[in-house]
Amino acid sequence: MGRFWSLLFLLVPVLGVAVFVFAVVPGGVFDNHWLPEDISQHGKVIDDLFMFILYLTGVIFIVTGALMFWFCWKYDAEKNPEPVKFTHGSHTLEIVWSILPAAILLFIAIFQMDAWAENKMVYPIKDGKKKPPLALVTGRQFEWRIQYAGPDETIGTEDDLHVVNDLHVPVNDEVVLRVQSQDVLHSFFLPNVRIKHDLVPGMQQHVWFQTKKTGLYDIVCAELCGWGHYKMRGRLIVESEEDFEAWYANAVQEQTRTSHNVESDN
Amino acid sequence: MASLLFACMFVLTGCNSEPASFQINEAYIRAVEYKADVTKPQLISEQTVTLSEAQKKNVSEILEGLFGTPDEPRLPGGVGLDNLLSLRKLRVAAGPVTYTGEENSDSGLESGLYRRHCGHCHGVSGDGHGPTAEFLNPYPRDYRMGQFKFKLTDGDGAYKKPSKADFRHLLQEGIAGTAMPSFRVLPEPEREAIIDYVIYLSIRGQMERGLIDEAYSAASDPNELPDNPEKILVRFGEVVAGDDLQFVKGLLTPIVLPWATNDGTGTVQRTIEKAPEEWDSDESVELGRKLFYQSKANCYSCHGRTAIGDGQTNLFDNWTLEHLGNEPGDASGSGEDGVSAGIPDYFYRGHLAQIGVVKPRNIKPRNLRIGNYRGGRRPIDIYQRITGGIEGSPMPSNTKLTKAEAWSLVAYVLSLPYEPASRPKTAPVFQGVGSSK
Repeated sequence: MGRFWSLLFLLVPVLGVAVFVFAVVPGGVFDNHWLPEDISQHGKVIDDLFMFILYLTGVIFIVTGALMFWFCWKYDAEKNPEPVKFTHGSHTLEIVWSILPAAILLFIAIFQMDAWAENKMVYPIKDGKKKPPLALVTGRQFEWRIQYAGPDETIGTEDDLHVVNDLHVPVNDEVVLRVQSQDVLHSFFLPNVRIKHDLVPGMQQHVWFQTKKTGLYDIVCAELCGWGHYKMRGRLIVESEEDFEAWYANAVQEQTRTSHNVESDN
Repeated sequence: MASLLFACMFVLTGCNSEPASFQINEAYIRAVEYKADVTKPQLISEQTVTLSEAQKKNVSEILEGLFGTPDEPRLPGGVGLDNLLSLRKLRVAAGPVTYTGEENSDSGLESGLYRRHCGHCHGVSGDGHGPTAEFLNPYPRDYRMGQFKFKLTDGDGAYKKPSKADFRHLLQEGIAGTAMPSFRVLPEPEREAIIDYVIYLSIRGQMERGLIDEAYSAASDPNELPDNPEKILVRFGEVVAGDDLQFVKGLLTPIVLPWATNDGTGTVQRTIEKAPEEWDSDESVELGRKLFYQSKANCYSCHGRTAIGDGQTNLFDNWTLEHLGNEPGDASGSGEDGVSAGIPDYFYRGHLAQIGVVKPRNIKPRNLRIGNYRGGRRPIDIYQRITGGIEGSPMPSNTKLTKAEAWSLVAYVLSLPYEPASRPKTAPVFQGVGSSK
């Protein structure tokens, strides 16, 4: 019976690795469970970082899993009738397994600095000045209210365009968004653009990204924000410059409608 | 081990809950029984006659015969509903929540839409008393009164039922400033099914109120034959369908007519003629400002002198008015916040919560300076609120203003959030009304 348990423990590294392999390989039950399509220009940095850490932790995971299995197997009580001897431990070993993880953590911290800086600290510059945000995205229970800055590039003026849940952005353009929460903690998450930013009530923050492909993508809330958290879905609509302009003009026209006729409007 | 066994039993048996059922409108029954005078809640009469359990059951039976159950909706025939609502759509919206991939055989859509997206606030019966309702401000709408706020059908001083286009717009945009979110990511056929179901729940709720009124007047009629001790409205046999009964038809037809209108396809939105050329000019805004403080428009009396919504704060909407003062215990009059004093919170949590009455709150006039418009921010939306009013709320429809004057008010209201006083850099200095300019 003793070796049954060591085999059972062997399942941990085996199944752990299998889950990842199945998720990556297309088709099958776990299809579509790997990273969502990346349509951003900077996303590769994030994905590479993710993969690097995955490989690093993956190797350590497999080695520790295999070692633990091996010890279980080798020192099974039934096969080893001799009682264990007490040892005071190994000073050298302890130093090694303290310093090694610390060094790895330190390495990751330094290795990722560029990615972090590029995504969160190097604010986009246009004509020598900070690029004004295209829109203000306000998370509230349970929707995304979006306020485009309009031609004057200032949020909170009369030419602002107000929409809900649909964020249109021009493709290839560097988009800056001001993000905030109206009520509780939310997290503004664009999975396909590799942007995730926690929204703290009272704080105004900015996110920026550059897309490279048109299409319809998700906006989701990545912070449990209440009973309707699952409802907080929006759409990121990446479109060509002309389509964006056309949509914008159309939306402004709708927002400033001063006549209503069911017959001709619908 | 015992817990493992228990877990296995749970997995095997599943959680077979009772099928959902419509709850009878106990809140309205109570309101009828206590004959609350909504204008003077402190002068209510004592309860005289109560409805018996048999009568309540009878009302529920008639309703079930007409409208079916939350899992199996029915549409009463012969009353002009056929063109307005589609049973196929109702079936998609009704029923228990199914999991992704399970499709309704008729439509290819998932069923259980209402309970998935709406029920937790608006309740299975459409009573606005779902599990999350009491945490929200404002409370979710109770459809059963058949009154709706934001629609483009009202005009000429009369409230009309919302059209399907109104529901469509509302589901698209959500209601800013409330817990009603936008549902624009739902596929259009799903939204259409939900719209039909909401209208169905509303008509059903109105019919329920009609039947309760009838049952109550039968119960309180002294000439009623003594051999009818339970005073049942109609016996509901297995052979007789609900829509075969003249009595039931007679009640239902006038309820359906305003929804379906004569051609049976529902109300249509009104036409708003194009605003005058200079409607948003500075002069027009200035005229709007004057009108705001004049008795002709009388905006300031509720929205306040500075338009921050503090003109009056002790009115109620129709849904709350009905439940005010319908308990002998709360005849003590209004408290400081306008809510009946002497009713402790626990009263609303325990006793009244069970019959679907939430703690009354005042309806606050909108703060016009924050730029948050529940019924929409398009100029036509504001124009409609001013000229058509907001049904169920103290916001009246104004028929005294000329079109040009109404548009000036629209321009003024839309300019308010951008006035310096609305976004002060330093402390604002408010001038007395009339003393400035």
